[in-house]
This record gives sequence, structure tokens and C-alpha cells, in this order.
Amino acid sequence: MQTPCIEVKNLYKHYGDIKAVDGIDLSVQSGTVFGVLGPNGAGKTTTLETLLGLKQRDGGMVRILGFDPEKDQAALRHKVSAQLQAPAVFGRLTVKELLRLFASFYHDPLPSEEVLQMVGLQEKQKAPCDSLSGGQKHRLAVALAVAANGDVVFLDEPTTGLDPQSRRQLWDVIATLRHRGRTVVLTTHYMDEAEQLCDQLVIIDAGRIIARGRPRNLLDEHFPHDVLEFDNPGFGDATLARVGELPAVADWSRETGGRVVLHSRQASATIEALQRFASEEGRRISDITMRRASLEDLFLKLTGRMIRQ
Amino acid sequence: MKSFIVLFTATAKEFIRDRSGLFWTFALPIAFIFMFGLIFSGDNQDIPFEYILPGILAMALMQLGLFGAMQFLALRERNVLRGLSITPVSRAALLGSEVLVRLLTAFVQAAVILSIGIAVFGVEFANPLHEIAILVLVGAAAFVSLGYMLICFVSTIDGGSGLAQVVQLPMMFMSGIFFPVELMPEFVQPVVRFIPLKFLADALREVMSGMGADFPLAVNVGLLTLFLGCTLLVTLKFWRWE
Ligand SMILES: Nc1ncnc2c1ncn2[C@@H]1O[C@H](COP(=O)(O)OP(=O)(O)OP(=O)(O)O)[C@@H](O)[C@H]1O
Ligand SMILES: [Mg+2]
Repeated sequence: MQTPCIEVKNLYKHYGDIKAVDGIDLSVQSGTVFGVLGPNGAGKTTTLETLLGLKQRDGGMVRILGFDPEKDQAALRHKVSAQLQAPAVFGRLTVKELLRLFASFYHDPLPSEEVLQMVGLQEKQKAPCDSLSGGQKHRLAVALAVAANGDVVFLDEPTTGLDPQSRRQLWDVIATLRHRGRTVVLTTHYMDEAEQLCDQLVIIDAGRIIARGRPRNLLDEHFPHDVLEFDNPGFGDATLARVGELPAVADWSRETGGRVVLHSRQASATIEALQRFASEEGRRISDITMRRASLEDLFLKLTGRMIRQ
Repeated sequence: MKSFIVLFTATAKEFIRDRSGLFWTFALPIAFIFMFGLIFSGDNQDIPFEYILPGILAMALMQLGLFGAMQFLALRERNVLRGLSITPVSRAALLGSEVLVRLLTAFVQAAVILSIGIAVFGVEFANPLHEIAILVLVGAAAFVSLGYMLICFVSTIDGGSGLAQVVQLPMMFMSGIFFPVELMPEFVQPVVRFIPLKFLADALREVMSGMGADFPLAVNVGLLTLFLGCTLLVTLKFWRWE
């Protein structure tokens, strides 16, 4: 196995009694997209900022490209870039001027035109940065990090507050970075995004890692069953109990609004048996939906809470 | 060096595009010139225009210096400077370009104020322009330095502008900019003689209008330089980027 691009052991960051980061281990391979998921206040931003050396860690080891960001910050300046907050310097420069200005500080920046295109800000290139909307500023911050063209890019909630189209566009940006062999570390609240984008992820809650792995593997491991849902066509309690004994059904429950949920080891067998059972009972089930468990379900299972509350 | 030039250009653009900043640096002093020029024209010669004009220039230089630092305070408090620490952008170069833009603006300010004095009010200067220019530079540097010293001791943007007001208002009214300090009550006289803005205003008045003051020119310039040195030392001692 190649040496990881980012290595973190037992990272701590406390603010008085608040354990913002409470013993985190990470290992990020270069050329991959690594996700840090968790609810508000979980410690995502604090983790990123301590990894970057912007906040001093209270304990643990951090290596980025072999360097300790607190001691060798100079060595990492040209290799690591980050989008942490909306750009708030030189607000009266135009988007393009600001992008050019930042790019000019790096050894081998991406051309401004290309970056503007990537984040979808070409039409705004002549607008003063101050005049951008929240989402546009957000994209500009990502653009500045991308323009640096370093080996590692940190993105703190790159898609929060974006409209669906811009979100997709940023997914493409991240995919492009990955395609070019860059390492991306991103935080997000969006589980679909993490599933879609990340090679590896950790879910953190209250400063601790509660799950880690490939998104698909994590879900298969925690949710080996398919989830089937349908409206109760009028089955009584006794009949429903018999539904729970149909082939391949592992578990079943009744939800509010008359929905019935089945956890099936093999969806096709269960659906077929269910349809047959229904017609024997003189009923029709026309609305069976099947959904795969999502990271959202995983978070709920692990913590007993929804991720966004 | 290249990156300093790039930063300087950006800072200058930023400054020129700042409408409200331009208002305070240029429109306000100009308004003062015309106000006093009209009040004390014709029969009313209580305070001659030659007395007022150097005072207005001194006031303009003070404001230029004090309020430049407040923008830097905003960058610090919004964690912008902290964020820059992981980029190749040097924060010191950013600060340096800020200061350079302010000092250059001081000359533009002086040129505008003096030109209006000459063109509209027919002022004639007692000494050559380069002597005025040297004073403008020392004065601007002293108040830029004071501004950066003040922001070492506050940790909010509001706190900074509050402190700047607390410092500049008394200086404006007690340094004899608009009327001679002899007209003020007896008990404030000893304090008033040592207000830094008065050193600058008195020195400018002597060089521009040939009017003597409490101290000889050399003493005023010396005190002003001492003030610059002290504020600079305190700033260096207590400076923080975050
Ligand atoms: N400077 C600070 N001083 C004190 N407490 C802090 C500070 N910064 C963060 N915290 C606390 O540390 C915890 C983690 O905060 P952090 O910003 O890392 O969360 P997050 O996962 O990024 O949340 P969000 O999704 O809302 O951005 C929170 O409880 C927060 O209140
Ligand atoms: Mg955060």
C-alpha cells in the first residue's frame, strides 16, 4: 500500500469543556476524495482547520504530504489550498481580478478562464466580488482553492447553500480534481453527495469518528437488507403478521400514515410473494417502492438522531 | 518583489473604488475648506484663511491614517488574515501595500488641498513645496502608525472605530486646528500643548503660512517624529495577525 497523503493520529482539539475534536485518526490516500460527514457542531471545520495548521491542536499527530502543518507551513503553502469561508479580502476587485491575483502567487496555477468555467462564474467575471450572492461567493471561494492547482484541496461544505444546478457543477469540479490526481478532503451534511463523490469517508459526531469506510461498503455492512414500502391495502393486524412471514422478509414495521415497511433479504422474491399473498386476500398492492438504505439511515441507526435536526 | 507589486496594485484599486473612503479622504476636507473660506471672507477676518488651511490638511492626514488601520482590523477580525496564512500571500506584504497606498494618498490629498487654496483662495506659501511634502510624509506616517497601534488593543471592528473616534475627536477640537488654543480655558492649556495633531498642524502652519507657534518648527517636527517612533515601537511590541 502506498504511503498516505494525509495521516492523522489521535487528534485532539478542546475549547475549555467542549471537546471539538476528541481523538480522531485519519488516513487519506493521494488521488482520492475523502469525506468528513456529521451534523452541525460535530467538529468538521475544527478538524479541517487543525489539519491545515490554522488552529493549534491540543494533541496528536498530523502529516500532510509528510509535513507537519504547524511546523512546516512554508513547505505546504504551494501544495495545499483550502476553501474555508467566503473570500472577504479585496471585495471591490472583480471576480476575475481576484482570481488572477490569487493565482499569481502560486507556482503553477490553473488559468482563470478555466476555473471560472469550472465553477460556472464566467458571466460574473466582471462583477465586483462584494456584489456576488451568497452562493456565488461560495463558488468563488472554491474557485480560489482550485486555481492554486496544488496537490491537496480542502473544501469545507463546498455545496452548502447552492442551488441544485450549481451543486451538480461542483460535483463535477471535484470529480475533475480527482481525475487529475489531486487529493480532495471535503466536509458535508449531504449524505447523497458523500455517497456520490467520496472514495472514503468518516462520519463524526461530537468530535469522534462513529463510522468509516467506502460509502457502499458501509451501507452494505450496516443494512444488508433492501427496504420495501407500500400502503396498507386494508390488512388487519393478524394478516399483517402473516406478511412478516413471507419469503426473505427479515423484519417489518408499520409507519405513520398506513405505510408498511419490509426489510427483505431478497427484494424480488418478497415482492412476488407479497403480490400473490395480496390477491389471495382479495386486495391489490399497486405502490410498492423499494429504496436502498442511505447514509442518512446509517447516521440515524448509529446515533438515534437525524443528521439535520 | 513581484508579488508585492501585484498586491500593491490590488490594494490601490481597492482604495480607489471605495466610494465612502474617498468621501472621507477628499470630499470632507474640501467641504471644510470652502466652509471656513466663506465664513472668514470679506469683513469677517477673525481667523485668517492662512491659519485654517494647514489645520485642515493636518486633520485630513490624521483621518487618512486612523481609518486605514480600521480596514485592516476588519480583515483580522473576520479571520481573513488567518486564512491567508496558509497561502503563499504574505500578510506582511499585504500590510506593507496598505501602508504604501495610504502614504501615497497623503500626497494626493495634500496636492488637492493646496491646489484649492491657491486656485480659489489665492493662498501663497511661505516656503518651497518640498518642505511641505516632507512634513506631509512624516505626519501621515505618524498617524498611520497611530492607527495600527490602536488596533492592537481592540478585538472587535466596532471597538476599533469607537476607539478611533475617541482619539480623533478630542485631537481635532483641542489642537487648535480651527481656532487658536489661546481661546480655550486656562486649565486645558498645558494638556493641549502636547497633542500630536498640534505638532503637525503647527509645523504645517509655520512652513505653509509662516505663522509661529508654541514651539519652534524644529521642536514640532522632532516631537512628531518622536511620536511616530513611539507608536511604531508599541505597535511592533503588541502586533498580532489573528
Ligand atoms: N473558537 C471556538 N471557541 C469555542 N468553541 C468552539 C470554537 N470553534 C468551534 N467551537 C465548538 O466546537 C464544536 C465543533 O465546531 P465545528 O465548527 O468544528 O463544527 P462543524 O462540524 O464544522 O459544524 P457545522 O456543520 O455547523 O459547520 C462546536 O461545539 C463549536 O461550538
Ligand atoms: Mg463547519
